[in-house]
Amino acid sequence: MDDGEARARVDAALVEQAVRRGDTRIFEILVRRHQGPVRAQLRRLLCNDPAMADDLAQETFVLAWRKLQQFRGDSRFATWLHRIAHTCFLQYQRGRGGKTQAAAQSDSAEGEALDFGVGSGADPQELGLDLDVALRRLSANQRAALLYCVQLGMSHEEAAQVLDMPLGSVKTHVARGKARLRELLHDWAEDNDNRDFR
Amino acid sequence: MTQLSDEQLDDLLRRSFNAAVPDDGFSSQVMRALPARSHGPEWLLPVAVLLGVLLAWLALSPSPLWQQAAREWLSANLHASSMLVCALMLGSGLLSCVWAMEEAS
Repeated sequence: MDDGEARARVDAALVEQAVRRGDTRIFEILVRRHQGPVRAQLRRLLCNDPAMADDLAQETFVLAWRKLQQFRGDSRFATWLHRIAHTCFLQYQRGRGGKTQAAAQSDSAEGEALDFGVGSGADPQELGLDLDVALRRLSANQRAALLYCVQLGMSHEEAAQVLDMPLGSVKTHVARGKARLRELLHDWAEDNDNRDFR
Repeated sequence: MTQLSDEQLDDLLRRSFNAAVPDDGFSSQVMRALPARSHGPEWLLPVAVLLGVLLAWLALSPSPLWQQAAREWLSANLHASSMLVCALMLGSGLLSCVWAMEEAS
């Protein structure tokens, strides 16, 4: 049994206990176990707006508590939670007329010349900024697909559940997102050809 | 010209993503925001159902349609129209009951 599977089993047992006893202390364990990835997910979706991300994360956990009885264990608890968080994010986005800070920054990034070549490889922080700029130039679906499939380490099937999207579309968004990123980071890769990534 | 390999790109993306956000009191804040679960006493649901049935009977008993249906039923000669009216009443009652229970949960 791998680590992820073991965590999923512990989560399922905790959910069962929390539902049966209606015990908030057991739910608190679940909150503590999952607050990091959920908040990180929302920070990424909102393009690093930590205050709003935390508000949405709180809303996510409150909703999860209300709907805990509906968790059937068909998917991992983490996947179920990320789906609620993604729905909260979409509702927030709709409330703002589909415009988030991420989208606004994406628009402004369109006008920016990506200066990957100038000294970018030397400083890891600077490299992170380059990647952030490149990510903002992807479509929202491509960004989300890469977030779930690569950064949060979900399977394509799990990402499809979270995004409420057909499996084929998720795979397409991942492939196109990576291709676009490669294109955008091409100059950087050229300058850092001999760099060890591992 | 060298393109980033799939592994390199994945690694770059993972390294740029910090999933280990420190708690900093977030969990406690969530716990304070949780709504209390309103679990009524066990006897509440059956008593409410019985009360609902009694009230429905009291409300329907003066109705001539209902009285006629009851008479036909007692004489084992229930007509299709009376049966239809009874089925409609029973159906709407059941629907209301299901809706109320769903709202309560």
